[in-house]
Amino acid sequence: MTTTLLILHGLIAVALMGSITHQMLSVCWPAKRADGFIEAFRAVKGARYTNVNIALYLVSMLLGGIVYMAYRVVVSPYLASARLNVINGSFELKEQFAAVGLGLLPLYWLVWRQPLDAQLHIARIAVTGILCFIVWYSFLVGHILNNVRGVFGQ
Amino acid sequence: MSESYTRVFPIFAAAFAVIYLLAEQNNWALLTYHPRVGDWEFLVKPARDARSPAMYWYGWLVTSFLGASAVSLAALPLTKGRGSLVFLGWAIPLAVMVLFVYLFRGFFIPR
Repeated sequence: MTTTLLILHGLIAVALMGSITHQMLSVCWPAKRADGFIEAFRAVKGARYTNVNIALYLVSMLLGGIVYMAYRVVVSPYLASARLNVINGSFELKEQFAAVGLGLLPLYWLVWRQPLDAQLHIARIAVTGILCFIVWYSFLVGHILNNVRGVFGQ
Repeated sequence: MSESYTRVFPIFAAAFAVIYLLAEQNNWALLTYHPRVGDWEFLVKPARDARSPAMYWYGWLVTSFLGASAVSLAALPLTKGRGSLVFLGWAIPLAVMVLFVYLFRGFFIPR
């Protein structure tokens, strides 16, 4: 069961990572025409991603929160006993970053609310950038950790 | 959602980050979970034994959510007619994240 939830958690994280990266690039490095692959990636209407990103973040956090129970019993003691401090610390940071990101979601919704407020352009870049970083960091740490020690059998 | 509520969203984000930092550092958890036995308890409770850890993260999230909601409600009348506080809403959480990296440096720097 935990393994199924972990895979689902990972798949939702991949969707969120792609979606928020689209939105991040659309606000930081907008493209007017979708001529090539890179331009097409940037030329999306960022505001349309907001509600989906919030939903994906919440679902991912919920699934992560369930899998986290098995992590504390199976994985964390192993990391400590094997003295894999960097890996262990990376996950501890992921835990804290994801929580800070959760508190940012109402503001994220506000800065992307349509019609877009031009005065909130910097805030849009900052909030989306922070969330994008949290999503990428969390995904990479989770992926590495699963390679080091999964929760199979839990 | 009315405009009066949304203007405190930056305050909520800043308060959530600061309260979460304080909750994590001081273990102000409103809930404790014992994963090996599947028990939830109210407030901070110690681990049952050496092989059964106690989890406080869920409790810190609840503390932060309720605390940030209370701060936001209190700030509602104070922020009326004030300029945009959006800057605080992302700068403070960003600073909290940097502070967490500093506080957790022991994992990354060999002693």
